[in-house]
Amino acid sequence: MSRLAAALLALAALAAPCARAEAADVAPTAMVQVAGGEVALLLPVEGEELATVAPFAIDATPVTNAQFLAFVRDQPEWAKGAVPRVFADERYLAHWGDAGGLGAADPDAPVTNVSWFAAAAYCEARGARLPTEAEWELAARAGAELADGYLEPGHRERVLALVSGRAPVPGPVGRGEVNAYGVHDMHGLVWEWVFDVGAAMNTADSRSAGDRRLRLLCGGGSAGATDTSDYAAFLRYAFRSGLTGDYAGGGLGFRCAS
Amino acid sequence: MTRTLRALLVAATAASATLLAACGGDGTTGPAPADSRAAEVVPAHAAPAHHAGHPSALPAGELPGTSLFHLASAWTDQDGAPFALPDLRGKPSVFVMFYGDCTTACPLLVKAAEDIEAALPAELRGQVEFVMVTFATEADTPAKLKAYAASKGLDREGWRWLVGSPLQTRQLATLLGVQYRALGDGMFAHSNVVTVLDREGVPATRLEGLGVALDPAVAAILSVL
Repeated sequence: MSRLAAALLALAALAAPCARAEAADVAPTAMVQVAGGEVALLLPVEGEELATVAPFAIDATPVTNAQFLAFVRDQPEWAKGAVPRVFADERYLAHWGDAGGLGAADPDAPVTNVSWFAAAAYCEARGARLPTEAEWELAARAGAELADGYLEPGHRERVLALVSGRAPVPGPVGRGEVNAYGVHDMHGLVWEWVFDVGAAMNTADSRSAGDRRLRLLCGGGSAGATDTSDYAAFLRYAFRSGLTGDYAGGGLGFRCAS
Repeated sequence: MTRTLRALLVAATAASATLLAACGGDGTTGPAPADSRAAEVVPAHAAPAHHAGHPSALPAGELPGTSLFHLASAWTDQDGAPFALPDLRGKPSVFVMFYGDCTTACPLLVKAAEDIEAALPAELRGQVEFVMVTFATEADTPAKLKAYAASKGLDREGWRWLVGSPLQTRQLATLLGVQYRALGDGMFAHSNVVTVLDREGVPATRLEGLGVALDPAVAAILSVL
């Protein structure tokens, strides 16, 4: 599918009235192709300067409340209140209503308060998966015009402004920034889960992600960081490194890849 | 791939209906494919089968919410047979994640599990299950795992060497708090963790790092036996 067609599809989905969102057959997000490449993870494993990423497809927008509701209705094991504690903490879908629906949650806003297990299950049900950290970072690296946004003047500052300007309760998907791939909202709405949660370590000898977290928060980790001036990326890695798979939080959503 | 999810969901449903303990280990679902696509096998005993008139299938009780046995999809063991975590119910278990081509940390992790077994009173050793799960979902075939286990004298009763799908492997690692990343050359960067689960699959002790004292793991096993 061409990027334009994908974008049009995404826009068409967004143009639908809110009322349809309670329907159980909400269309999944259109996906866009991202060429593979090499991406420098902020804190690579020792001796692994660049991660090589094969071409992949990624959702043009984060998964919405309405889309996740359709999944939950199809797979009631993932309904609010039905998920074993080991797969999601007590905040799971806390912003939804208690009667099996969205309550006051915006159907077109990214679903949040979803654990990694739930996000991975959603993507699996679609025949997709969560993007790896390297894939997500590669897709997020694009600027407005170029696949490598860092070649665009002011890119770091724009991304940081998007991250720091997020609303406490995220608004609808697809109305914020769109990058050169046609991927929307990589920075301006929510943090996003990746497949290899907790995969990153400072070195191959790290005993735990705790080492990495500590180094990040103490600032010592920046000595090994690939690009210390990229504060928005630094925030992403710091946030991800503190996550456990059962965590469900208001500022954390996801999108799928394949 | 959606069958993986279905297996997980169906099995999780069954687990929450507490049927797996009674049905587990029936092992009659046929051999798993040898190519490590274990997660695609939907074990027959994972299907909800709770009807009136099945009193013999009544479970011991509902799994605790923090039990890892909610991850109920089938793995493939070193004999190519399907194996699901709820099959462990009723016995404490020791979990290690490793991979066969790992020459530094992994042999020490496996040795730690072996030392924990050796530290148990002889009459109790058969009551504990040792579960070694590979990160290398492609390279570590059941045959390779069997050879690896045999080379250490650990292809025997009470020792399970498992391979699963990439998702399933990441799910387990996430539950165990094990970090890993493929380095692209068949090697993995990974954290070194030994976890003891109680009879219901709830973590009782977690040892992180190499060369740490194993006493807490032994004590945890003895306390839940």
